[in-house]
Amino acid sequence: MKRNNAWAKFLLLVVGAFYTLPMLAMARFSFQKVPVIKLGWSTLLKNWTIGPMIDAVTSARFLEAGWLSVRLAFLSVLLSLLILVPTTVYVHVRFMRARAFVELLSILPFVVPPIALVVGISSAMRSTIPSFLSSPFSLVPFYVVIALPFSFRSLDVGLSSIDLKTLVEASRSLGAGWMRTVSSVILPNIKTGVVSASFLTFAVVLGEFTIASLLLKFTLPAYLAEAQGNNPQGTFTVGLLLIVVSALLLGVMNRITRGKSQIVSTIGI
Amino acid sequence: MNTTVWSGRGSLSERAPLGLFVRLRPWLGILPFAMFVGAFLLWPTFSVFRSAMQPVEGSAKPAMLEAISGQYLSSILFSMRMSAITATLGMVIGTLVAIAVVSLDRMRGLRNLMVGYSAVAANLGGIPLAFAFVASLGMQGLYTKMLSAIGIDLTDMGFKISDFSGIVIVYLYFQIPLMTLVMLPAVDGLKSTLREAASNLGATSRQYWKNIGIPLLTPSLLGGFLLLFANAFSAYATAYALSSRGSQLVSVQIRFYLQGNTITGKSNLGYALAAWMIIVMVVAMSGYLGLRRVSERWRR
Amino acid sequence: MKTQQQVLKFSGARKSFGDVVALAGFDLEVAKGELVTLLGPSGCGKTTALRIAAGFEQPDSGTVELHGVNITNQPAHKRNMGMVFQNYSLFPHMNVTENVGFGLKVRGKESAERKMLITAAIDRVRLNGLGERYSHQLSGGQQQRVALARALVFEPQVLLLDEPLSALDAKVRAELRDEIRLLQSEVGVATIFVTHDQDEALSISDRICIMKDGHVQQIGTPRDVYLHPANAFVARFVGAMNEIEINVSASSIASIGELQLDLQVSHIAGPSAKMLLRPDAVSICQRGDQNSLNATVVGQHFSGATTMVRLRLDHNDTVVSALLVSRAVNVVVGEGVGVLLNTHEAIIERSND
Repeated sequence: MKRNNAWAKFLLLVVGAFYTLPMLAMARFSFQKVPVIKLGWSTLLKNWTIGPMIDAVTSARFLEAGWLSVRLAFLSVLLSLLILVPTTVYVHVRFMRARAFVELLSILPFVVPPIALVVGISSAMRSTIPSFLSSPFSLVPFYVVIALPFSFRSLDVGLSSIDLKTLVEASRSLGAGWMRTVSSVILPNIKTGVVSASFLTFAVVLGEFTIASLLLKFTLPAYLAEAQGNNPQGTFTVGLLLIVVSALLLGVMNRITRGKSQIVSTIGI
Repeated sequence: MNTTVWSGRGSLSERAPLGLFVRLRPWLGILPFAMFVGAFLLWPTFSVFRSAMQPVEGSAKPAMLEAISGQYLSSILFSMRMSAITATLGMVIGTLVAIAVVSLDRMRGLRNLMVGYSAVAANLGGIPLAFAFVASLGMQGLYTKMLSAIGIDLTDMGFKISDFSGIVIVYLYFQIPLMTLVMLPAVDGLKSTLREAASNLGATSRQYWKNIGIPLLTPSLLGGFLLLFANAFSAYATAYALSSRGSQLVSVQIRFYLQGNTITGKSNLGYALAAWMIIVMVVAMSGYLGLRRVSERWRR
Repeated sequence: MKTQQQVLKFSGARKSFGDVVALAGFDLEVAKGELVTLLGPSGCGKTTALRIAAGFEQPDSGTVELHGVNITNQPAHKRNMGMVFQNYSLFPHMNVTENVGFGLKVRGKESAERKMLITAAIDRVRLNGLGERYSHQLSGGQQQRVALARALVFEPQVLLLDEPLSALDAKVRAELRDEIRLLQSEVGVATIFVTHDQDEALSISDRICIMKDGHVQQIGTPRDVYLHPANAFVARFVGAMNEIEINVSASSIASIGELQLDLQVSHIAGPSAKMLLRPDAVSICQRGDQNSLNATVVGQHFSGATTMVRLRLDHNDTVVSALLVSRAVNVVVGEGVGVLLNTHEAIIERSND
């Protein structure tokens, strides 16, 4: 059957432009010290500089925010894996009946918008355990919660895609105990799931603004909000950097997951 | 093998406690996870509702009822309108993109590129995205200038990136890819063999779409709409960063009521708005999940 | 004898995909009420030919005619043919009734008339009472029956079946195969059936068209194709074959070991050749009987009415199979016997073939 696909190519071109143009404008603003009013064919190639960027990334505030964000990201990934890997492995190996329940718990964070969550956190914990919230690392468990739909889904899909039952039976029949089976047979086979869960969580944490801002923690997005006043260009470069890093993380994660699981892991639901 | 006789609430056999323990024991394995979610998600949520049920200072009504009256209702409706519009536009464009990608499946790598990019773009948002659009279409935006150079003056037309339409455009940046990702499996499900079967049975192209294509896509379309709606409704950072009209969105309003930890008399309103937000989200997400189950059943 | 009214005719249809020639000069006529099977290994062109008939592919050259009218360029939805697909292709969002009625609906039939025809069609495929079900609630065999009803309800000129049984398991396959044949002959529609399974082809076809690499190898009745294969490929593809090495001398005498057999057909002499012989053309006698080869019984496969006896020829250790009526078999493994070859039906394949 003949197909006329010209409209498809045109549409994708337009959409592709929509996706790339804002990033280009952002890059231009960040790296070219020419105000838009003065921009013309003659000034197009003038004054490209990484000066503002250097200023921004060497500033104390950036380093402070960046360091905090990175630490939060790593800790969140760790905590996520610590809680989820044993849970998902346990469910898949021993207790599939509970899978629906665990899945339900994992998508609950979707129905609580971050803004609602953070006011709930304030209300709940300020009166009972105020000291908990004073540490910036109090963000970690909440970040794990926010990333939960994605990280659970990645691990769950990874475990579903291998024939776990047969592998475990084979391993056990060859004489391996439970610990051995888990470490030598199960874990190596869920590497993809673990990596994509980690990358997704990392990207989520780096970009999270709502909770950090309302709990007055100084993370990278909070830095962005604060610094745009005094060094707009530099701040924009940091924003661009953030986008690039997230894109890399998600892009790599996307490459290593294939098939049906790919789309589901990305949306998380 | 011990089997426990457990008949109804009234009678207990000697071994009943052990039987119950044995039945519940497997659930211990997921207890840590459940407790974690309980502590860091359910407890704050419960707290929101509890505060929302308290009356606002100077009134006898619980804050939740107060929140849906008069001026407060308007911000909820404003958010819903904004979400509905971005969801509709995102739904239409995202679906067309998905159809385009599938129809061009002879082009190697196009689909992977699109999925990969959509995966990134769907999760993009917040402040960096706002920055990018300010740099593009803001007052000093690159494309604002380019458009005025060819005669289209956006400021004259009254367009501002921080306006309603501006926010819609920014939201579309992540709504379109999200819809694309949701629709790709559904469009795949319109296998070419269904098209051939319909054609063989005598259906023209229009008859195919009317009777087969669109009905098969509808659950995913509606589900996707709800997902996009929920996604836009719960967004905060992007709106906050663009300010101006963004501040009329519920999410930003909540902050206003709870700013700087002061327990003003109106703070319960903030909790109430948050509680209503959650309720809207529950409805939207349940709808999405239900519709997704229908479309998956058909994709077997 | 069925009427020989020609319904569908292919003339010289060719189709290539890039460098690959999928179909090379395809000629076939299908008469009303006739079931013609296109049989061959994958890549032989059978599916391409079917799709050209349906209108999903256009031939590069050559024509397709329906009742004498050239339909080569006619779009698929105007051809009034019914097609059954390997994976059923039922519309998942419609129930059985709606699926079956789809062809009627797009032809503008009234609701009342549709209902009547649909009920009759569903009854005919023995799915009465299942009209409200959806495809995910039906077994594979049931789904294929729905597909059949759907394809036949509007009385198409031609019925096209694209490996309809391949996705089903063995037992269902056998049942449905016979039902398809019954239905097809009751309705009396010209039918093209595509398969790679020669048992299916042999059991239900009026004629079989065997194909390989885009070329037709032989067209004939199942009997013809089985008993008088046109070449070695057909001989091997349809039914089992024994292969025995022989030497052919100038005057059509074949020598196998010490045995000289008159092939009764003239062949070009050559040192080595292969004789292809059906298992049912081999029989057992006493060792040393006239015209027999000495052999030892090495195995028996009992299948109820028939038994396949495996024999190792003494002179060169070739193993041949003899298909015998079980009642007539009274040899044991290890026993020395004589083997008789009915060379009337042999195909000789030269070694450099």
